[in-house]
Amino acid sequence: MAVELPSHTGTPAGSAAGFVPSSDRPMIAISGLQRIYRTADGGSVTALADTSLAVKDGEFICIVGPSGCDKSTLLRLLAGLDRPDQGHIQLNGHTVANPSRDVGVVFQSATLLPWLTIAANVSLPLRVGGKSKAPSLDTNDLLEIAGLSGFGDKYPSELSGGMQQRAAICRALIRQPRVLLMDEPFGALDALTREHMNVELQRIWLATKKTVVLITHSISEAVFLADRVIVMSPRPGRVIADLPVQLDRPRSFDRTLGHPTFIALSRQVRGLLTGGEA
Amino acid sequence: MTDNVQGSVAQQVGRNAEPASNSRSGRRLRHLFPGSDRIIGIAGLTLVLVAWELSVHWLDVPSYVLPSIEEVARSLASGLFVSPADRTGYYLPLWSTLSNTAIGYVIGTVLAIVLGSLMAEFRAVEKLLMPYAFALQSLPKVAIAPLIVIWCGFGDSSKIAMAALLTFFPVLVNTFAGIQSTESSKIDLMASLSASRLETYWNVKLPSAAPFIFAGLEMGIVYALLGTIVAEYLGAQQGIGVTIMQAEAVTDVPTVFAVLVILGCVGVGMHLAISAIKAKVIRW
Repeated sequence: MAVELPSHTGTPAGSAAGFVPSSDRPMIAISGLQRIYRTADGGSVTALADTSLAVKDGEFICIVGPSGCDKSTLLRLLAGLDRPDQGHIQLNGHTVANPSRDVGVVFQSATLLPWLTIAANVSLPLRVGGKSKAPSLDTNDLLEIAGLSGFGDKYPSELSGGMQQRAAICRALIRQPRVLLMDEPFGALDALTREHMNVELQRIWLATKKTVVLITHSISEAVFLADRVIVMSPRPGRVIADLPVQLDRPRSFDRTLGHPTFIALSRQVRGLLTGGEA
Repeated sequence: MTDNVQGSVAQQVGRNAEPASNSRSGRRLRHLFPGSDRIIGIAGLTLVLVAWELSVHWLDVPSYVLPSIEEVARSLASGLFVSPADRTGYYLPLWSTLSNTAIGYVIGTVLAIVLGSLMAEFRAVEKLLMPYAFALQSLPKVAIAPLIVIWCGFGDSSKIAMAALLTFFPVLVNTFAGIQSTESSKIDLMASLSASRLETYWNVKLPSAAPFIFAGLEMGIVYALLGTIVAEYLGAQQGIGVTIMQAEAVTDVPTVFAVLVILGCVGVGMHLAISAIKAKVIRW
């Protein structure tokens, strides 16, 4: 599970990527990314400054950073919901300009449509965004993987927060995207539900083998889930550390939490976050 | 005994104990008088009726100023306990008024939802139409009504037009506000799914706006009835407004009161009907 550090900052975007053999080509390649927001009083805020990152196919990475370090900005750029001011994002060799079918997004809140049943919510992506020949997953199969079988006919308000977020993950997976982007998906849940959801997410990930980028401000969540933990600095956001997590899968809270590697990594990440640039 | 305990607890925790004892007494009141809301409603109505009857009898108010309850009841009965096809009954004019109201209401609602949606979706349409919508709403409808009767004639169409006109504004403004207040996270979700503008409107924005639209519809139905009757006042062959005018012309005040009672009940009934539809549609 060793992972090489990315060094794609200088990689030219576009045609050059086509020469790289696909097995070596990163699923996500971010280079020199910059995003500047204009404020109401005419000033400007640099949200992201010169961010570079590469994610391999099937890799699970967690991005941690202090609040207000614009992790969400990075995710919105990855999802094609926002455009960078400078730099490039490539997804499987293609520059990201718009939302893509290859990407499933899980937002901070479950964002289920309250007037649709859980099954209708999960299958919503199949009914919008144009017809596609690409194979999709079966709603009931997905609900079963997520431990929601039997809840398809229920409405979101009848489900707990954790179950709603699991339904949202199903919805993000139904088009069989290659990449799953998750923006603090368990931030609104209580600690115990959150741990349970982390184990569930690992299980779903092991079953589907997507490339996952998960944004969180929980250090233990990041170290528990990730193949690599990316630490970002406060605004303007930059990658300040890229730490591989060499812990066997499947991980469980009982065993992993006390593992020396887990403890050492958590301490290292905490040090980076509290001490600023290390 | 319990009071003593409560008192000592109140002393110990100080101010915090006060709201607790308040809610306790409130619960006790509701426990003693279950359905107290309904009792208040019935008591209020009884009080009004008794005051009405007493003032008519003791102050010797003439019938053409304020008829007695008995006279009003007799007028109600004479118009209601007849064959629906009876020309002297209330059913024929009521049917005419209600059908015109319903047609105008539907037309006004459809126009308002379509235009309100376009205004919320396209800034140019908003800039173009919003000033006129507010200008139209600021005009006194009683002043517009004669124009509409001139344009549309004394038949049903002028009644329908007035009903549609009065329904239009509350539904328009609520549709616009409802669509604009769609949560941005839901719009982000649709964007992340590459949904088209129409798909986002249909799947997310319109359902999100539904509670607002229904608030407009509940107001609109009452206005629609009002619009129809105002148009009938200015000239009509039939309708409940005509019935009121005819009764007023011969100073048949009991009939005027009887029709007003019916209209009040119809207004409440229509409002309840819309609320029932709302409860069926919006279950989340």
